[in-house]
Amino acid sequence: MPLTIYGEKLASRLLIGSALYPSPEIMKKAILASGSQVITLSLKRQNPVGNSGAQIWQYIQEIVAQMNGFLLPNTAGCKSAKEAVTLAKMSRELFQTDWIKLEVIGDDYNLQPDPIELLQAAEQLISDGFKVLPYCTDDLVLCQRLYDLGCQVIMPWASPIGTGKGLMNPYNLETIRLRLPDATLILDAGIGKPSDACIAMEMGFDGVLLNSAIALADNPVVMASAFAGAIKSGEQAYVAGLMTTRQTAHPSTPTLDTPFWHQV
Amino acid sequence: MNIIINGQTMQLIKVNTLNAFMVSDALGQYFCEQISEQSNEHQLAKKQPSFALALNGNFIGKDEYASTPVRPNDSLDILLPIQGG
Repeated sequence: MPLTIYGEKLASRLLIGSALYPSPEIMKKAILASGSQVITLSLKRQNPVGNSGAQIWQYIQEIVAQMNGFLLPNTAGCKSAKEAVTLAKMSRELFQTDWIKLEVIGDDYNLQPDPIELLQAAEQLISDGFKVLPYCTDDLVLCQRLYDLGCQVIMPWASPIGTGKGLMNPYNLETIRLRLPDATLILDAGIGKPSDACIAMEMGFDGVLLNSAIALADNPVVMASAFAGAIKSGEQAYVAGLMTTRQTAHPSTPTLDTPFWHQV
Repeated sequence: MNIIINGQTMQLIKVNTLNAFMVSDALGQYFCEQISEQSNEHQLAKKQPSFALALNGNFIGKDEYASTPVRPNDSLDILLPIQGG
C-alpha cells in the first residue's frame, strides 16, 4: 500500500534529506538509490550572483524530475513562529509547493522543537493554506494538538537531530501510533541505523525521514539502499502482524514422540 | 540612504529624488554591484538565480517588489535554495 501525504501517493516510505553528503554527485546517487520521492531542502542567505548552492539545487531538481518526486522545504534554524511562517512563505514562492516541514527550535543544545511556537506556527500556516508536516517531540498531547489543528502528517523525533541515537522512547512512539490511528506518522530525526527505521515501521509508523545516517555513512549510496530495504521489511512485518511475546519458552519443534524425552 | 542586505550595509543611491526607494530599486542596485564585483565574463553571463525575499523579517512576494518601499536601516534578506534535512 502506498504512503499518502496530503493526497499524494508515494511508492517509497522513505523521505530523505539532501544535506551533509561528501559531494553533490554522491548526494544524487544516494537519493536515487534510496528510491525516495520526497527530498527535503532549505533556504539560506546567499549571494544570488554566482552562488555556490546552484549545483545542489540543479541536482535536486534533476532528481525530483527523475523520481517523479516532491520537494519538502523545511524551516530549519527558525526559533519563533513568526520566523517559521516567514520562511515558509518564502519557500512556497520559490519552490512552488504548499508542503512545509515545520521546524521551530526551542533549545540550541539538543535542537528540541519548541512546542508552543510550533503550535502557533502550524495554526497560522494551515489557515494560510499550507500543508504542514511538523517536526516535533514524541509528546502524545502535542501530537494530538497538531493533528487537531489540521496537520494530517505528524513527525515526532526518534532522538535529537544528527545524533544517530535511534528510538530513545519506544513507548512514547508506540503510544502516539495507538492514540492517533488515522494520522500519517513519519519518524523524523535521530535515526542512526537501518534497524532503527525498521523498528519504527514495525510499530506501524507510516514512514521515516532521515538524512545524517545516510549522508555520513562511509558509503552513502549503499547505506541508502540498506535503509530502503529496512523500511520495506518493517512495513511488511507490520502488515503481516508480529507474534505476541511470551514470558516462558515454547519449543518450536513438536515434543510429542521425541526420543529420550521424559516429562519432569 | 543605508539599508542592510543579507547582513551587510549597502548605500542606495537615489536616481530620481521625487520617488521613494522601492524593493525593486534596492535589488537592482544590489545585483549590479554584485555582478560588477565578479570580474570574469563567465560570471557576468550567469543568469540571475531564483530567490525569495523578506523585508524586516516579513515575506515580500515577487509581485510586491515594485510597490513596497524601503526606508533607512531596513533589512532585506535574500534567500536561495540550499541542501537541508
